Amino acid sequence: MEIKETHLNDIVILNLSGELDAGTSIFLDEKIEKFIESGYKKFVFGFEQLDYISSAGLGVFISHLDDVNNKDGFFRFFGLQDKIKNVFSLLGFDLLVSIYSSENEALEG
Amino acid sequence: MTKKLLLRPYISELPQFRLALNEFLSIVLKDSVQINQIILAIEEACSNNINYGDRPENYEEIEVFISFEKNKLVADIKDNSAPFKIDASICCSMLDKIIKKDKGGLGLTLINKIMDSVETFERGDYYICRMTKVLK
Repeated sequence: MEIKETHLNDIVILNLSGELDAGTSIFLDEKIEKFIESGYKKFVFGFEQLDYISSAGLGVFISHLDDVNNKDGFFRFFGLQDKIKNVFSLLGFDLLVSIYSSENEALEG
Repeated sequence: MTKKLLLRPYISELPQFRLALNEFLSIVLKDSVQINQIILAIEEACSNNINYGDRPENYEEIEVFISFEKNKLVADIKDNSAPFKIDASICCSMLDKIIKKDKGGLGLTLINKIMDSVETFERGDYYICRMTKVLK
């Protein structure tokens, strides 16, 4: 998995590519953790190039979502392939986060 | 039509295992969402075995048998590690999980949402996790 990182003002944009599973989720977890420790609370995740997500991958977002919500921050997602959207939906995660079709929409909120 | 796949019990082996699963399932199934669901359910079960199984020192490869019977897919995961409890109680709603930062049980939830039946049983020195899904 690759994580491409950009910033727009106080928003962290992380574009993920490849597969987010039990082996790779730790890298994303550490990255989010460091941003939160540095004071960031607004995150946009690009999933256009993400081909697979397992429970371990979803667990990363579950670990940090409450922290950013409590600081008036957010996790926003865009560009989910149908199969990824389906995994979100199976767990009801899609009802608790904001999902957009494009990066611009996600940034505008 | 049955396919046997072998998985060395290491998390690092999962990507290659998924590729092999996808290659086989794509011969029979056309819906990419359904293929992904089945790959996910099988991987979550194997991953649970790898992470939480009581694996003996002389571990063996996990054997996965996938067969299509009429309109049904049957996946047998054969392992010499004691299996996870498929009926383990899973805490609370997704919202509660987020508030409690509780990642536990997500894999089991996915397995149970995706598959129509899941059972585990012993056969000789091995444990079998059998999952079935009716294909629409």
